[in-house]
Amino acid sequence: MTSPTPKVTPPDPDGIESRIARDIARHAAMISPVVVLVTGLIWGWGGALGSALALALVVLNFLGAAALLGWAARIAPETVMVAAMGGYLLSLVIFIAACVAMKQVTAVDLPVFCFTLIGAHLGLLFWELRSISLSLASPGLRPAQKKE
Amino acid sequence: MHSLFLAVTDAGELKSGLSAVGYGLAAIGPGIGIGYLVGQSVQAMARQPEMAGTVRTTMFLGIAFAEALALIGFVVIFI
Repeated sequence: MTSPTPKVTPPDPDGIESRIARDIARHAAMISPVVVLVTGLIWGWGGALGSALALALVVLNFLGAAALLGWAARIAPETVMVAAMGGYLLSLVIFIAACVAMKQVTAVDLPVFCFTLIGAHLGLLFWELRSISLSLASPGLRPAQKKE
Repeated sequence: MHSLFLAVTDAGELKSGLSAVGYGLAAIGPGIGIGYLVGQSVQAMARQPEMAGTVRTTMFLGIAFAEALALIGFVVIFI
């Protein structure tokens, strides 16, 4: 007697990065009002503006990197290497330019901007990692699905 | 050598120069990490194309984590 083979749905290889990035953006949209409110209460308008801009930059970076990698993967796996390294360099340039620009703008609290940049990047990644690791272990299982 | 010290008399200039060198060093590690990660991922996709979706998922997150190191490296300069 053979045991029934479990149905494992292979993950959709098309636009899988975009799906992750959209999920990250959704998480960011959930936490951003709280982050902006807290930083605004502690550091004032400059802090609120800095944290809002940092959150937007992090989300745009994820969406851009996902779009770039997805586009490269559709062409050939070899182009993923070029796209990943190019995306890394591009994101570094964008982050440096943003930090230099924020240094010139007095309305934005620079330390709040910088700390939110790091915190949001790492926090959103760890949040997404929880979701991804669970779905990779059991592809049919999704964490905390909302029931309608 | 003496002229070099004279050229860098301003402490602010010295600090910004050292910051740039520090940031350059901080960006090397993640660059190597991303290169290695993507190289191995491409190899994995070539060996098992049916696992490409899973490999790309973990690769994307790995790249983002490696990027975070570079992000910390230069953000510290601005703080």
